[in-house]
Amino acid sequence: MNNLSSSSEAPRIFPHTRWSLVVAATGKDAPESAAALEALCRAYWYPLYAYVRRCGQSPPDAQDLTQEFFCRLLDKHWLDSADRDKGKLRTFLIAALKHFMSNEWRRASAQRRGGGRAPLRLDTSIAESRYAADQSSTLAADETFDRHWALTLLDLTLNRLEAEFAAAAKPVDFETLKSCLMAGRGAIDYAAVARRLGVNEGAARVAVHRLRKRFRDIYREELSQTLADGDDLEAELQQMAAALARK
Amino acid sequence: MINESPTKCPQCGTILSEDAPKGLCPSCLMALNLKTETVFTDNRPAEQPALPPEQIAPHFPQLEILECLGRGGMGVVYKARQKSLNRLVALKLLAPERVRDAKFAERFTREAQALAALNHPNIVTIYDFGQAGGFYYLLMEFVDGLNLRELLRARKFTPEEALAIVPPLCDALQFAHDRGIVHRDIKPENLLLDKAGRVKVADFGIAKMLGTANGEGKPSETAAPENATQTVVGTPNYSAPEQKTDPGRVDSRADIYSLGVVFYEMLTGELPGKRLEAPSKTVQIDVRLDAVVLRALETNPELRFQQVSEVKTMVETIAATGRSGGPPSASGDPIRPANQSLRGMFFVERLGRRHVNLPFLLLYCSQIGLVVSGTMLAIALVLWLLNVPLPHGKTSFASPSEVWRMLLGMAACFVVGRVAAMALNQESEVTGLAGFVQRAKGMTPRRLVAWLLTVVGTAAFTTGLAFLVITMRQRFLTEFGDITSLISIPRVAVWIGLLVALSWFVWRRFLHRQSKPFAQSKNPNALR
Repeated sequence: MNNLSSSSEAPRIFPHTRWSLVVAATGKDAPESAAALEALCRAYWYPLYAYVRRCGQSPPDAQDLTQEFFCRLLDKHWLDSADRDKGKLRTFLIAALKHFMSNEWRRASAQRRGGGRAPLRLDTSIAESRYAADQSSTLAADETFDRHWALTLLDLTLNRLEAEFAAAAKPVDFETLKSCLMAGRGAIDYAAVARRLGVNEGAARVAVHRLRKRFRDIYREELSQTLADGDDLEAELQQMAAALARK
Repeated sequence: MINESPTKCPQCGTILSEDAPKGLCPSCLMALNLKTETVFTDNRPAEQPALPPEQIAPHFPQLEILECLGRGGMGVVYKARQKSLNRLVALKLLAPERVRDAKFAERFTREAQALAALNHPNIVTIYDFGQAGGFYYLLMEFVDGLNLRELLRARKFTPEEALAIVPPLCDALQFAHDRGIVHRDIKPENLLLDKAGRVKVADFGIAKMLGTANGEGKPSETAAPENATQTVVGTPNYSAPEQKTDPGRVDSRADIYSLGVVFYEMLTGELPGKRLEAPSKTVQIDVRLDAVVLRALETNPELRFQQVSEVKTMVETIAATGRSGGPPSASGDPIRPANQSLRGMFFVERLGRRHVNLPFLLLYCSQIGLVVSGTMLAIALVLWLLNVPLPHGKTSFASPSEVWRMLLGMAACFVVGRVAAMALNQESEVTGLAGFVQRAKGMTPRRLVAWLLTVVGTAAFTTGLAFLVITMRQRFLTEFGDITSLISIPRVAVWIGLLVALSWFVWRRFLHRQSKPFAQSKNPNALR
């Protein structure tokens, strides 16, 4: 499944998602893969934090743990072990974290490796307040992780959507239209939307339709960024839906 | 990280947490991704033809696969014979193209466990469940007969036949609801009728466990929110409105709606259209059935019957009075059907609210009054005839004025009783001895005895109370302050004790009858 491509030969499948880039560049010092990995970690670190907290670690311990974990990850030593089938980013991260927690963290105690250098500055104070505010405390740690992963994906998608609207100089439109993302097809009051946008109803319908389609497309794109080549997008989509459904 | 005050999603009703993306409901957003807005399932893979029995047989050595009975959305059903027990069984296999669909496999497991928890004569029994040869399978009771759809296609039902099917259906559904299981897909295809005329409910495939989350027994505040993202289930024509608009809010009342649709279809031969027409406009049926059907088909679940057993009671009431030839009342008041318990008759139900049936109360009280006064007069007469010396000296019974007063009271009771009977739309012959005899004929001996006991008990209680009041009055009037009054206190105490015991016994009979109506009228089996 994973292609260890060298720069001299054309890869069989061109790695076009961030994660597949990272996976493909194992052992090499490719800057693109480093950038890709950093981008991924920056986006998805909160579910890991939530998992660690859910496992029972205190907030300071959890913060240290998460920081340390990402330090190690970004040093890329783990990614070099080609014998492990990495699969999706989500499963890889949680497996690596569990491994880290059970084996390495105990030995580390309070000592920080890497000279205290944290290449990924994680805003753990906000993370803790967010975790504390989260009321869904009936889930197991794994389910918490999956749920927050799914929520992160939604956040990313919506942020990108919002950015697109802002780039087109129409930020207000996004606020108006975003609630249309939730409603069922028959439940949208197009007349009200049209009024608020200042266009006629036909244009409102088109705008809503475009928004929904764009949402779907961006979501799938974001999701595929975390998948390696050959992974099933639909299956992952179902799992995300299932993860959100568990309360 | 968005800070929002806790609100509810307007679409699915689940509570939004603080970290809801942009203040939107995650479940609804995901639903957008899954494109699950109205259809049962989105990507229906190309249906492969059902495997012939010979290909199935090797995977089930303990069965002899006889024939393929049919296929539905979930899977294929085969008729088979269990070799060891030599009985016919139904083997349901998960459709091969669905095997890789994680959602379906989970549903299949849930169906098996839901059905296994339901052991009822009107629910298809499940024998076994498992995996064999790459298939998920379900081994069920084989019902030798047809489903309701086939029967409806063959011919239309007479109202009596329809009325005969509904009560056992209600039994089955109530049984399941009591155990927290909602069927959610009641439709004629899922209602089987065997050759003996017994109804069996099948295909609890989308049964939803109320009150548990993911079947793990953890309580959840809203009903199974897992379905908030799932596809809308249920057959569109039969599913309740809230199943389409508000899947998170679906509960046992959705089954009542579906039952209403089935009932409507049985009576009229058609599905209820956009404008709901009373069935009695289309076919010649008892108008009281309109109320039942229309109430079951209420769009708002709060206005429907809240329990399936209520439907059963109403239907049985209508069926019974229809048969016994009592005067049908267009107003819908339950007159006095043989099956209704006494306590229930004190209340009349209109639009779901119970209020006291005043005419009946008056009738009852007047009749009691008559009996009590008559008894007291009779006792006084006996005592006077036998010239029994009364221990307390002259009591009030001996005086003629008292007697006249009693007779006057009895006449008043009689008149009140007549008026009340008229208010209940009953013929005048129905009251009085002739009416009593007629009603007595309609009851089973057990009911008759119970009815008599209740009346006599109440009369005795009232008589005893009257005696007590009079005796106490005498006491206070004649021996107030006398030292000998102390001796009578234990006697009075015993009196009170006896009366309390008697009244408790009488009330227990009331309550007993309310909770266990033992008049199970055996409906003639009209379906052969």
